[in-house]
Amino acid sequence: MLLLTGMLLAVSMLSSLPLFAISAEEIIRKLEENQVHETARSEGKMIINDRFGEKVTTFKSWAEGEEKTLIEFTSRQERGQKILRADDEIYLYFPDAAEVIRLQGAALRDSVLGSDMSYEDMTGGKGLLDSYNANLLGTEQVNGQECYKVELKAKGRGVPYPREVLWVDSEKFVNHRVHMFSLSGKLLKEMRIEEYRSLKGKIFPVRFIIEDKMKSNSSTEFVIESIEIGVDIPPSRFSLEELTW
Amino acid sequence: MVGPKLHAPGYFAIKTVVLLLLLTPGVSAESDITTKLELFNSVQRSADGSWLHSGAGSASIKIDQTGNSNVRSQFELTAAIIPNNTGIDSLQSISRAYGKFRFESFRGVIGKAPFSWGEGLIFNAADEIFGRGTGANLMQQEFEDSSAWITSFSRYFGPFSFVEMLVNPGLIPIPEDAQLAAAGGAQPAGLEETRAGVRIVTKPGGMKLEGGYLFDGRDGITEGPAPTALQAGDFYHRLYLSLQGNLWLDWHVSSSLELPDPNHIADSAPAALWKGQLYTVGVYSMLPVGYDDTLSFRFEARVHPAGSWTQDHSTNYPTYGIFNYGEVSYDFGGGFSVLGRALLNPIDLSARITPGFSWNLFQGFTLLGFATVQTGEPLDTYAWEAKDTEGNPAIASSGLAMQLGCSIIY
Repeated sequence: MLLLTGMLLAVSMLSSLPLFAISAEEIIRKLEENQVHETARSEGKMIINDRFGEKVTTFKSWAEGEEKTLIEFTSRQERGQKILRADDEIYLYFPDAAEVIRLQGAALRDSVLGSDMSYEDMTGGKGLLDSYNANLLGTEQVNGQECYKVELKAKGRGVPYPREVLWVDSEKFVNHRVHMFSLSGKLLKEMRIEEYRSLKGKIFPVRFIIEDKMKSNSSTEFVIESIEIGVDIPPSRFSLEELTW
Repeated sequence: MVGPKLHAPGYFAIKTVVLLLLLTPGVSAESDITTKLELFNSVQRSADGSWLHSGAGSASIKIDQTGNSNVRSQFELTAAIIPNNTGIDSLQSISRAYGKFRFESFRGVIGKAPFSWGEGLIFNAADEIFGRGTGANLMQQEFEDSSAWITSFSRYFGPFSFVEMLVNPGLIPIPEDAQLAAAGGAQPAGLEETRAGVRIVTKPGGMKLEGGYLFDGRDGITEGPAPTALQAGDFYHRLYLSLQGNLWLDWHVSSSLELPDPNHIADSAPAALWKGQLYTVGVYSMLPVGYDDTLSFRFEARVHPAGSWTQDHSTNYPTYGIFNYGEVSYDFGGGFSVLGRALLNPIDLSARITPGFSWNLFQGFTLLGFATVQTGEPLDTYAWEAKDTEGNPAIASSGLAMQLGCSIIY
């Protein structure tokens, strides 16, 4: 009798919990694998919207893995400004002053040109699992797609958001939506992925919008207009020489 | 940056060049043109206590070469706009005119180009000649760059290391005298007035290390740690070392040694070594505040051990032993930021203090506002009511000045 009760209890407990063949960490790893390319060359724009209208910043970028990125701004106001990420450091180049500034530490979390993206966000680098503990909350439908709902809680204080919730497509392992919360649990920002592209076996977002929930009419739209993957990029591309050229 | 007023033929030549560049159809395919206007209303208190109101600004047209991965060039014409009772007058200068090129093994630059050696925003012992220094104008959104006629060659070894050799010829004096001008103008400076140097930049571990040497053949030098009017044909040796790294804060330290021509100095060798030392240090940090805001701060100090460490109210204007620069800015996100800057002479306890704001409202349009107050006594470095300012380069602005305007880039 006791054995039967125990078995029933166990079955009842198991049936009340969602059963997943995949862990939260594995979902995050697959998501990041999709977003990191051996080498990539792309062109795009960042559209910052606020109550005064929109500001458009265009750029070209070159990337090798997670650690090396060079971004060159091509819009008139910022023309020639560059960001180089290499060896866990970020270098900024301002052509008018022919000046190179090296960013380290907390400065990596500063926003790029007043957008909702930080230098660290824009140039890659640290993986999510380096900074967050992941927890699988369940599955939900987003835009008609079955998604894993994954909660990320910061391991320490060195991250912009202490808690994030991601809706990751359960088949393609791409984000559909991300919510970023304050320490008190207030929703600060929402990222919606509007468009994806599939290239060489990888699926990654090419248009997404980050909406500031604390301000009315404030958002940053990020658009990759062209991208090539697996291209030859000389090592000198990620050097001081190229940064100051 | 505003240079001397050009003579009429030069002025028309510049206008012609710009018009040709703008009108030639083929140019646009291989170049980008950027126009920048900075327009201000200024109110300032003069030394006699009266208040002055003026409109002023600057305009620049910059043409960048594009489309060639191994050659880049830039031409920039800048004009300071000064409205007067004869119509709008202006002071023009060519602030940039250079080309750079690269081969597989080295890279070269020739022309009037921006360059900076060493580390430091306001105080930089490695770049005392072309740097900003104690007389810096704090009422600007971004500090003006320095440019000079250079010919340089660089060779890179590794992603963050290079050696650069540089030559900077002597200046051609602009003839003030009409007869001299009519007779063909002044001759170029002699070869002995040339500046030439070499620097090496590398990154051992996580630290940036830069060292260099400059032979400076100019006489009558007013820059440097110990300005001295040397005789024609005299020269300086300048050596420097700069370190930059991060230990919670970004930091930099630079030291330089300026040694005059040993055949033409009255001092003993140890005295010359002592007089020629200059040190600058600085820390800088950007801290995210909340989810959108950023707090930045910077502190720099310039130490000249052989300088004057006591207040001197004679009109000699001693080279003081220490100066400080501090800057705090807060970016509220959305393009709005406020800042406070100050240059301080801790020996005569005078300061130049500048609060300001910038607000990037629309694409390419930024509202700017600055004020500057100087707190010192009449013969201090930063005087409220400056008197007898000759010989004190730091006393260049009035006791109180305010300006409100905008910057437009298109």
